[in-house]
Formats: sequence, structure tokens, C-alpha cells
Amino acid sequence: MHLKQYAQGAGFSFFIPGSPIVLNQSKGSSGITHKTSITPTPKPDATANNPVPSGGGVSPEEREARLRREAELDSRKLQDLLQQAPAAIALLSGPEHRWVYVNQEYVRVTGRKSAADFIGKTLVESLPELEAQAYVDLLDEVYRTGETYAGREARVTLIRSANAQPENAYFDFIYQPLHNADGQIEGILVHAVEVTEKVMSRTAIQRNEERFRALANAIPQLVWMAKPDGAVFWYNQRWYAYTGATPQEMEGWGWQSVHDPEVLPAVLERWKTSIASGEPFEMTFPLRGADGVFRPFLTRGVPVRDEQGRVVRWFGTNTDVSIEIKARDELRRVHERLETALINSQKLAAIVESSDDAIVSKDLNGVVQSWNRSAERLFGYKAEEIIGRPITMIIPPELQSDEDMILAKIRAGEKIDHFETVRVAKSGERLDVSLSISPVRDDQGRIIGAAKIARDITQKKKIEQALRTTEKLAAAGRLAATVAHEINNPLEAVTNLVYLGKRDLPNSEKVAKYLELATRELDRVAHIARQTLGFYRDTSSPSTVRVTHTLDDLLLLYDKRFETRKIIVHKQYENEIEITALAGEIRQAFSNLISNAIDAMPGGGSLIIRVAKSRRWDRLVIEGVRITVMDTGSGIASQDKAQLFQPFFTTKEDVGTGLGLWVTHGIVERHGGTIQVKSRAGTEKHGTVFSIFLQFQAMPGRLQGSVTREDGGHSPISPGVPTQ
Amino acid sequence: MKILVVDDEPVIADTLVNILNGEGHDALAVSDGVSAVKWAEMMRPDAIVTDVIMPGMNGIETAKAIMKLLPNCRIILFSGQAASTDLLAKAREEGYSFEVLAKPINPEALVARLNRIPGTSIPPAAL
Repeated sequence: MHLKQYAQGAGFSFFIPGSPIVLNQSKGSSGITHKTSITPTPKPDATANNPVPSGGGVSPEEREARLRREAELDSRKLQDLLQQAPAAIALLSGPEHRWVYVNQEYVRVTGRKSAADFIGKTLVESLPELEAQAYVDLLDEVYRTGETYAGREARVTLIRSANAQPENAYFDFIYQPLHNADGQIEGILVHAVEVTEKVMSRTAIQRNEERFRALANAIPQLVWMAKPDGAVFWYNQRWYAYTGATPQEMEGWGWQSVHDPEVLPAVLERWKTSIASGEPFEMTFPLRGADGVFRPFLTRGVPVRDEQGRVVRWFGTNTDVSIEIKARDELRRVHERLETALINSQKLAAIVESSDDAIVSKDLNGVVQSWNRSAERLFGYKAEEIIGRPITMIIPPELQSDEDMILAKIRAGEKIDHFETVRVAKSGERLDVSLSISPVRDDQGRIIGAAKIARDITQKKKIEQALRTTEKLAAAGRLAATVAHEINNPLEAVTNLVYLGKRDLPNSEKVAKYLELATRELDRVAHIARQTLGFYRDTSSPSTVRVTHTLDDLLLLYDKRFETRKIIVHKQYENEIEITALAGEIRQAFSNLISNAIDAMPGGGSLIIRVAKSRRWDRLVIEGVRITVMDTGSGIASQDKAQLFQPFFTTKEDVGTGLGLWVTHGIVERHGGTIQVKSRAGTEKHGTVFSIFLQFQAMPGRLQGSVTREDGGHSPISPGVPTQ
Repeated sequence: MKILVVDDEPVIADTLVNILNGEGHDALAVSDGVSAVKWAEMMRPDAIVTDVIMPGMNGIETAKAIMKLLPNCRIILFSGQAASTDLLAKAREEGYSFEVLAKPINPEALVARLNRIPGTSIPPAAL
């Protein structure tokens, strides 16, 4: 066994072996004497252990007395030493652990008043609060086994003053068994040093650390700590949850595996620079989530320094900024869109302002919202004069209902293209305009108004009118040629007959025959004259036109040409239809088609004329009549089809003026009708089909009440004017 | 003289033949160009009076055909229609110059013209 003793001055916990010494404590009422052996600190005077030189002439009694005196001296010295030791030292005797010695420190750390509170009492009697703690068992164990027990930072709950609450104290302690001379255990040496302060401060640090980690795990950021060399030694749970990585994978520099390889070199460079300089690290870079998606993280690392300013660790956070970046990008996009929109709107405004066409906008109530410069020029109103006022200001009184129709269409989201109508300028001048009107929508797609482009077609109308007049003159010329033949031939016959009548005057029988023939020829002339005059009668007001009658009259007129050309006419009249229209113009339109059909069949063929009730192709609600003129002629070459209705377009160099179909088209359009053509050129099944649709009230509105009835039996007939 | 009268209107052809025969000529009426050429070859007339606008072979084609057969035959065209001026102009471009009268013609004037020296014609513009 070893005896151990506290070595003063150099902290604690080193033990040295030494010789046995007897300690005799006789203080206290118990009077029990204990002998124990300890190894004292070597002393220069060697009082305790120096063998007394044995001299001659000393009696054994004297020797014993001297030895006892010396031992008492040693004991007192030792006691002084123990009393003043900075450690709590006590001796317990017997299996019931009765105090035989406590030093001052022991009294102090237990919060008792003096050694008298202990000596002669058992441990439990003097320190009852220890009864429920493990120390009594421990002492029993040491006493029983003889094994020394050393405890470190052991918690002891003490009541250090009478009225105090139990408090926790921490001790490093040794329970050392004490043997008697026979080697039997007699007691236990208790040596304890209070370390409460040290333990408490360390616990506080630990608690702080725990709190920090709990906090770090609770926040949405990824948090990490790295050693001064940059090796990361701790991540919060969020880091593992986000990356899906294990602590093993992440240890040290393992974090590189969740970086984007493209960005990683830059991250490493910056991180190493920070480590080398101790400057805070800040960078935004992508980190791969457990789902494989990279998200941008704003990463900050700050160095934690000790009192000497040395970096002891790095503390870092990674904040997912994908939402912020998205928001920023979105903001930038919105900004760009706004800029583009602004630029576009400025461009648009410039275009609108500089356009040659009048461009105006109005709301759904027809109130003018904008008015460009061309609108000012065209209509004479300045923008400030008309904005905020109804657009009906420029609509002539008889066309006011136009606006209701336009607004109804706009509300329905429909566009109006090239609507030719009349508007009134501030000066009162009437303008022919072509309107294109589109709905204007807001961001949500709701229709909030209309944009209108008005083109002045007064000039165009005048030119068209002039062309039409020219065509009428040309037609008149051709008419004259045709009519001349029809008139001059009977006149020739009459002239001859009159000559013969005069010559054969006495022969009344002969003369009567001549006169009869002459009368018949004069009837012919009269008929032709009626027809001719009728054609040029100015039918400025619409009348009821019987479509089939008009066609029959025309076919009669062309009868001779059909015969000459060997053209067979097939009439397919499904209905007897009357329309309200300008009779002369309608006749002209039909005449041009029939004349073209004849010209297309120089070698003969079939002409089919069909009349039937119908509806407009594009607007089925409109009822009317369809007139179809079909020929089995040469057909129209496909390259010519597009120009068919253009003025001065002709394929008939000798006889065509190139105005016929254009005139027909104009007439049909003026009547609100449509004209279509289908044609096939080539060797088989060739021919052309013109199809005209006219509504029953082809000339409605202002025409009501002034309709005149045309005399069907003697209707004026247009001549066979060669046209294209 | 022997005169061939060509007109698709029988009343005109017949009355002219009647008038010319009354003046001592030997006139014959036909109603189309093809018949005219056929009869001209057979009767070899001194003069032909023909309408211009006729179905089938027109007056100018008829006149050209007869000129080839009878270079000395006098040809007088008469027409009621201005459109014939175009046909005549075309013929003139081809080197043909015809004597043309406008319908209705005064029968006395026609007789007088037939009796006059050929070559003078009413210019087309007068039609």
C-alpha cells in the first residue's frame, strides 16, 4: 500500500511514497487515540523522521519520554500544517466514519462553524445532507476494500449555513484508507479541493454553446464553424437537411462537394484569402440541395478572435437568397419591361403623332380620348377642342346611328376594317373617309375603348368618280357605235323605201307596200331610241328592280350576238325577286358580266344565268338574291385573277377598256353587295363563274319612301358594251 | 352597169337593187360575204356596194376577196356604224383604200356617185 500526502504549492495531485509516521490526535472528548502513518514532506530539520542518535547512558524511560516528546512535537507541527493547508483535510475513524480530525478548510467548505461540529460525530450526524448522496456508500466501500478512491469534479449538495438552501459544490477528492500498525484499516483520510467555480464556469460555457447550437439549428440559415485553418468542424442541422450530406462527407473541406464546380475555384480562392488575412468572408454562390437543385446562398464568415487577437475559429452562415435574387431579377425584368413599354409608347406616340392618317381613340361611351395632328388637319378640330367630347361631333346627322353600330361591335371585341363612310369637318365640309376601328384593352384584357384610324379618301373617291365618268363616256361611245348600226340600218331602209315610193307614186299598190315596210323600220328605230334614252336616264333614286326582268331585257338585247356566236343561253330562275336598288347601275353591272361572257366564248358555248334567294356568305343574317353568270369560255388565267377588279385591267387588247369589271364591282359595293369569281382556264371544263349577292334592301335608309316603280315591260336596256 | 349589192338586211339590199335597176343598172342582191364572192366570180360585176358589219365574212374581207378576183371592179362600202372606221383604218394600214358611204345614203347620191369617176371617196372621218 502507499501512503500519500498533499504536496504543497504546486497545485495538487502528485503523491510521493514515504515512511510511516504516527499521528496521535487526542483532542476532543472522545479521547480516542489514533495512530496512523503518513509520509510527511521531507523537512530540512528532519524533525519527524530523523532517528534520534542513540547515546550511551540514557535510560529506556528517558528514551521513550524523549521520543514521545518529539512525536508530540511532530504531531503538533503536522497538525499546524494540516490546519493551514489550502485543501480540506479530515480523518474519519471506524466503519461508522466518525470524525477524528478536520482542518479549517474542511470546516469552511462545508459551511460549518468549527471543528467541534465534527469531532466525535459521525459523518451523517455532522453533515446530514450527505446521507442521501453516494458518499457514505463510497466511504463504506473504501473502508471495506482498502482501495483508494479519487473523485474529480464530484458534485456535493451542501447546506452551508443554517437557513440556506441546499447548494451544489464540486470537489476533487481522495478517500484514502488508513491502516494501523497491524495493517488493518482503521480509518479514512479525506482530502478535498473545491473546484465549484471552475466547474460552474465551464458549465456556463457549455450551456452557452448548447444554447448557441440550439439557436443555430433553429434559424433558417445554414450555419457552420471552422478552425482557424479553414477546416469546417461543425454544421447546423439545416446544413445537413439542405444538402442531404452526412457529417462525414462534410468534415473539413468536404463542403466542396455541394458546390457548383464552375464557381468553386472562385469560392476557394476567396475563402483562402480570408483565412490568410483574417478578413471577413462574403460571397454569394450556389449550393446544391438534396433535391439536386443549386440555389444561390449569401455566405458570410466572420473570424472569432481571442484576447490576443488571434483567430480561434470562423463562424459562418449561408442564407438562401434565391427568393431575393428571383425577386431582384423579377424587379429588373419588370423594370426593363416598363422601360421597353415606355420607349415603345414613346415611339408609338411619335408614330401616331406623325402619321398621315388621323388616329383617334375614344372610350366605350364614344367620348374622344386622344386626337393626333393628322386628325386636327383632317377634321379641323384641335385636340383640346374635341378631347372629352363625343365623337358624334364629326358624324353627319343622317349617319349618327353608325356610332351605335360601331360601339356595339367594339364592345363585342370585333374589329371594323376599311369602313367607307362620310364624316363632317369643323368647317361643315363632308369628307369621304375609310375607317379602321379596333377595340382597346387594358392589362386584364377588358375592352375599355376603341382606336380609330381615319383615312381621307375624298380624293380617291373623286378619282374613282372621274374614272367612272370616263368609263361612262367610253360606254357611251361604244353605245353610239352599237346604236348607230341599229338606227342607221332602218333609216337606210326607210330612205330607200321613200325614194321608191316617190318613184312609183302612181302605183299605189307598190307605194302602200313601201310605206308598210317603212313603218316597220321606223318602229325599229323608235324602239332603239327608247332603249338608248332609257339607259342614260339618270336614275338617281332607287327603285324596285325585278332582277329576272332586268336580266331578260339584257338577254333580249344580246340575242343577236348569241345567235352569231352560237351561244346557248340557259336561264335558271328559282325565284321572282325584287330588290330596292339603282336600276340603271344594276343593269350596267349585269350587262358587263354578260358581255364579258360573250367575249370569252368566240367559238360558241353555253351561258347560264341563275337567280336564287340566298344569304351573304360572310354574314348569314343578311338575306337577298344571288345572281350567277356562268360561261364555258376560255377562263381567266390565274395570274390575272388578282387584278380582275382593278381599273384599266384588260386582256382584250382590241375592244376592252379595262373598266367593266371595276365598274361592276363598284356598283355592287355601293349596293352593299358582294361579287365573287371562280374561273378555270385550260383545255377541259374551262369557264368562268361570276356571282353577285345583293341584299333585298340594297339601297336602304334614306331611300325609304322615294322608291319608284320601274316599268318592267319597257325597261331601259343597256347595250352590249364590250368590257373586261 | 352590173352591180352586186351585199347587205345582211334583206330590206336594204332589196330596195337598193330596186332603185339601181330603176336607173338602168343590172343589180343583184346577196345577204352575206361568201355569197357575194361566189356571185361576183360568176357575174363579174362592174361595181359592188357592200355593207361593212355583217355576220360571218364582213364587208372589208368581202371587198378584199373580190379585189383579187376582179381588180377593175369598183367597190363602194357603206356602213351604219362608227365601229367600221376601226376596221377601215386597219385595212388602210394593210394598203387598202376603200370608198365608204355612211348609212343612210341618199339613193340619188348613190346613183350619182356610181355614174362619176371612181376614186373619190368620203373620208372615214365624215362618218
